[in-house]
Amino acid sequence: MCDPIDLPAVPTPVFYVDIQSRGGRRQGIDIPWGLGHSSCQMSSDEEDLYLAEMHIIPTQLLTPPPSPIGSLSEGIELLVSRAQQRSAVELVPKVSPSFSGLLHLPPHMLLSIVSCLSASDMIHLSQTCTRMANYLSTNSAVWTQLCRTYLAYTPERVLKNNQQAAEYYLGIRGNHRLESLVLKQRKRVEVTIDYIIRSK
Amino acid sequence: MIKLMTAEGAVISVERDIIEQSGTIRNILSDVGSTDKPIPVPNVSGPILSKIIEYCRHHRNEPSRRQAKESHGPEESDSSDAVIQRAIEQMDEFDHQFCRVDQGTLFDIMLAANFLDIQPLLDLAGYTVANMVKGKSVEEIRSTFNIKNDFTPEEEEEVLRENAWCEN
Repeated sequence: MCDPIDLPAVPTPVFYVDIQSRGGRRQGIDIPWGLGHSSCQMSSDEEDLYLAEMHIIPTQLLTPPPSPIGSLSEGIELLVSRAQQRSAVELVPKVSPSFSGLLHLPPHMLLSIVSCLSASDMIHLSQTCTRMANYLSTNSAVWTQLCRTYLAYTPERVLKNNQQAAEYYLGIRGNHRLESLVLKQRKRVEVTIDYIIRSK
Repeated sequence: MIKLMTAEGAVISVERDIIEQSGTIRNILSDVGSTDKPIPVPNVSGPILSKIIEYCRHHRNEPSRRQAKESHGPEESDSSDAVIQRAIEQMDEFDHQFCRVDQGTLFDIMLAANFLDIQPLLDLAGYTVANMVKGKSVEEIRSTFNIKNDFTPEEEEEVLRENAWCEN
């Protein structure tokens, strides 16, 4: 294994650009602090040496830092070239017979599926395997998310505790009459808020 | 025409108004502007991209679908069953046929719709999966989704005990 920290400290070669030697003076670059005036009384060699010391700029400073993706279009080109390099064979998914797509969905997609389920269906789903049991356990944060996303106006005290949120959500989802009442109440609150806003 | 490069490296051309149903592509096009270069969609295979384009082509003249979920307000009959029922009613024959695919393809479509940010398609696939769970016993769900029972007997008993309070 090669750890970059373990590499011996090799001094990085620094390449310099000498503005003067590239004809900076001849191209009319201003010499600072009146160096061109007779009051400085520098010889030609001294002046050259001074300028060389003052105006030598490492090439590394003149070059913008390298970036793997310079712009969005360059990034797209990079991805296109990578995609072309990869063979179609290695992109064929290796699906094992025991692969379950449901268990490999990202949590937010699973949340949107679970939100469509009744309490009893959720309970059945939670009893299928350990992953689902953990995802839908009463200590899981999924209940708070479900309450926040799909049951507006859930009391804040309920949202502070995952278990209370689970009981609250399942209590409402499991009882169609209660669910209808809660949503009816929610509709009334929204109509009232809308009325207040319009009357101002 | 917009060119899309699939995960395999194949290039598929599609009309701009069709593929702009994808939020991801819409954002790329607004950043890059019109481009002849193919836009890579590395997470989406060719067959799945073709299916998605087929879906977008069918719904190309329904811009309201993009905001359908956001603008939809809660209603008195907005219970979980009613939500699914209404979503199913909004589906046309094409949508019903579109979802009649094997499970692997359905999950691939779902993941691609998520990547491409096509909310109506994501909802459609989500409701389809939820419908596959609905009304099934634990064993039926396991066999439907090929889920392996990895509980130890003690764990299974504990899960049943934990859920007993809400079964009644």
